[in-house]
Amino acid sequence: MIALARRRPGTVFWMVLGVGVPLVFLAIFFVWPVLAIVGRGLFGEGPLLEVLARPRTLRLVGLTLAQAAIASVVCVLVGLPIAHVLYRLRFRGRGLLRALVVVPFVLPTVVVGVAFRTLLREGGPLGFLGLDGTFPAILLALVFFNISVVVRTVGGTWEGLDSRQEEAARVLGAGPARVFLTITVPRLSGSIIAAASIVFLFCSTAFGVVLVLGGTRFGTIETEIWLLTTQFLDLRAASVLSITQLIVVFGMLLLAARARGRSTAQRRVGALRSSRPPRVSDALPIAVAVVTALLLALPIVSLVARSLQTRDGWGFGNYLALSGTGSRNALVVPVWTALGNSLAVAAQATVLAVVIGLCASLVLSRTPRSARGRRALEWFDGALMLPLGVSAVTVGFGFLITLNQPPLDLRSSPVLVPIAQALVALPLVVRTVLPVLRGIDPRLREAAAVLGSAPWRVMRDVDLAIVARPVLAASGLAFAVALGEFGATSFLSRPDRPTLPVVIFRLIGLPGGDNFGMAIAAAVVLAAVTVLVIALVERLRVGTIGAF
Amino acid sequence: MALVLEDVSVWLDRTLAVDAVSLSVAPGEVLGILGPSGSGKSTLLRSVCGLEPLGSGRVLWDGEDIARTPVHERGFALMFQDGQLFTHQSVAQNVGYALRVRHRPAEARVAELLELVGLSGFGDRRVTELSGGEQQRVALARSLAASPRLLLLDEPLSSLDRELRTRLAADLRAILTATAQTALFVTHDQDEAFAVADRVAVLMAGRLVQVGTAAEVKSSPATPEIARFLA
Repeated sequence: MIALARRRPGTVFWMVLGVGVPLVFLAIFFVWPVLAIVGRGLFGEGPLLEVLARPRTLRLVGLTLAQAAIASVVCVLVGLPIAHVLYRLRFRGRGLLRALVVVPFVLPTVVVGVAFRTLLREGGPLGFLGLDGTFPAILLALVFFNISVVVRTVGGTWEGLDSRQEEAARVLGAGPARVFLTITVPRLSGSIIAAASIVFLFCSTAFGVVLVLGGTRFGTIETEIWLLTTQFLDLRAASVLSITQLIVVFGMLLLAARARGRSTAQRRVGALRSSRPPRVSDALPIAVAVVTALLLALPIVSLVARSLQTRDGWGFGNYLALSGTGSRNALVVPVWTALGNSLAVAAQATVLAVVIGLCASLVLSRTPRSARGRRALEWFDGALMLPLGVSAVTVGFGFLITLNQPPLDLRSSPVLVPIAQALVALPLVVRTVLPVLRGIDPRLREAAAVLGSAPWRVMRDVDLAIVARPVLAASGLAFAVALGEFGATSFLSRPDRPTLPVVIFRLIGLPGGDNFGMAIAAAVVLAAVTVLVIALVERLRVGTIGAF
Repeated sequence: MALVLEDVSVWLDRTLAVDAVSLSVAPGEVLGILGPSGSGKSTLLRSVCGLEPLGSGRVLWDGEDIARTPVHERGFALMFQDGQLFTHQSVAQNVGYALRVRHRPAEARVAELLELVGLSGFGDRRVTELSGGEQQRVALARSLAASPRLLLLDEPLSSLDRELRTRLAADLRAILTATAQTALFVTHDQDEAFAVADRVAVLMAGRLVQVGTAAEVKSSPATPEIARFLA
């Protein structure tokens, strides 16, 4: 790591600290658990391939890949017209719409699962479609989540593309469809592939929403790992599935990184150059955007409406019941206590993720002089993105089998849940802060240094001053993600200190009495807190949120 | 007359960029539009090819109003100041674009055009490898490929350095005459305008203030402002 440092006193120390803290954290809480899973999977008892050859495993791997592939394609097809409307056209209210589009992405998975259940169940607004508990229902929910990834990622690139290329093609005789296919799509291909691979990643590691919507018939590798671990205690088979998952994820991340590298080749222009008032020819994308917006709103509206229905008609009965523990004593603590737990745990996770993410980003934003240093930084960058793809379930499962015994016995310690959540939020923090830091003109730092600032002072007056708002925004995002985190938390949270998503899942699992109504009311509360946090984040107007 | 503009006005957001301009261009003629930056010349050009909607007035081609003809069906071509070559395509693919769009064979014509602009054998190169002058030559070849009824040139030489500009202006003039191309040539540089165009229209603050041959405009500027601009 010494090779990274410029030869200035003090810099080496900061470099080592900046690289060391994130690396040690990742090593203990990510690499070790994952290696333990791999070890258990490869060297456990019984033949390795036996687990993979089970018909049930094969079916679930197929389902996982199929649902992720279909959802990615649908997200791209629907997301492109919306990106065009929100990032190429100028109209009043565009800023608000760009902010709203991110809401589905940050809603807790359990909330979305419950929302789709209220929408699709028998007697629900779309109950006549008969989709409850079917494969298309899972697909719809996955698309609901991930459209914003495509809109934000592709939109961010599209906004910077010079529209005169399209104009040149039009004047040369190409009709609108032809211009789109021969000029626009090739120029966007890098960001489309990046967005699609990230969506594929999110969908193939989807857990909460599949668990809630899929019932026993449909599942993913993720839900199967959970089932094998917590219900059948077959840790060996779970490990083998985790390895399968790791391979899929790793391939996708490589693809995304390559696509990202390629997409930087386009020259960017100011937004004024590329956006224009809507025209008649924009009717199709506008129509797609409006219809999609209505469809996106539907599950949320349905959720809120259902939360106000009690057994004795409309009212706040479900919300009042949140101070209790549910029918048949479903819960150990009242729901409001669980909300308190969630807020406290998410706050701890946020502090962890932001401190580590900022350290790492500061180091990653430097350009080392030596080629070896640059290569080392690329690896470091890739290592930080890994938790993004490696499923939360794998993380939770890994904690369970490594941190439960000496040398590090954290089983009874309340720090496990925030650490796991911080791990899930870390890549999002880095992806929000790092592009801003990389965008700082190095001459700004040189100017400060020449004017007499010591290195720490340069970092404070230039880097930290510029990055303050993005860091605040990243904190909000990390908080929202931690608040809704379910995959890892469902493994790690203890019955006497559950978080809100865990409580909601428990309540759906024990229907009868007030439990389902309570679950829906609790989902509304969780969604409201999340949306509030994200609304505050969006007010900071940091463009890198939710783009990959 | 090939192209006729009647009282054309164009609004950009809330400013009147082009103010009641009337012009006509004969077949095979190169009309220069000369004016300081911000005088509305580029906007006028963009409205002729349909990229900016007309505020009022008419644009006629062979006596026919083309306001409702979509951009891509006008059979014109526009060459931008910075070329706007398609970076994801090779030189030959760029030049042949208008032909492929029209489902016409491209290969022979592309070679012919590359020879015309002095870039024979450049077909397989990436456009990002070319120098500024070479890029503008490719852009010109691309614009000429489908033999447009009208060629619109928006400051095609302004991004180049002085020496190259003078040389390319002469080349441009030769190519346009050789192909008997009807063209509108926008520039802020009077030497360039006088070197390339048959007649020159002077535009100031969106208004057309004088039209005439190079000699006429130079020897008797219509207003003191024109005289100052040409000085």
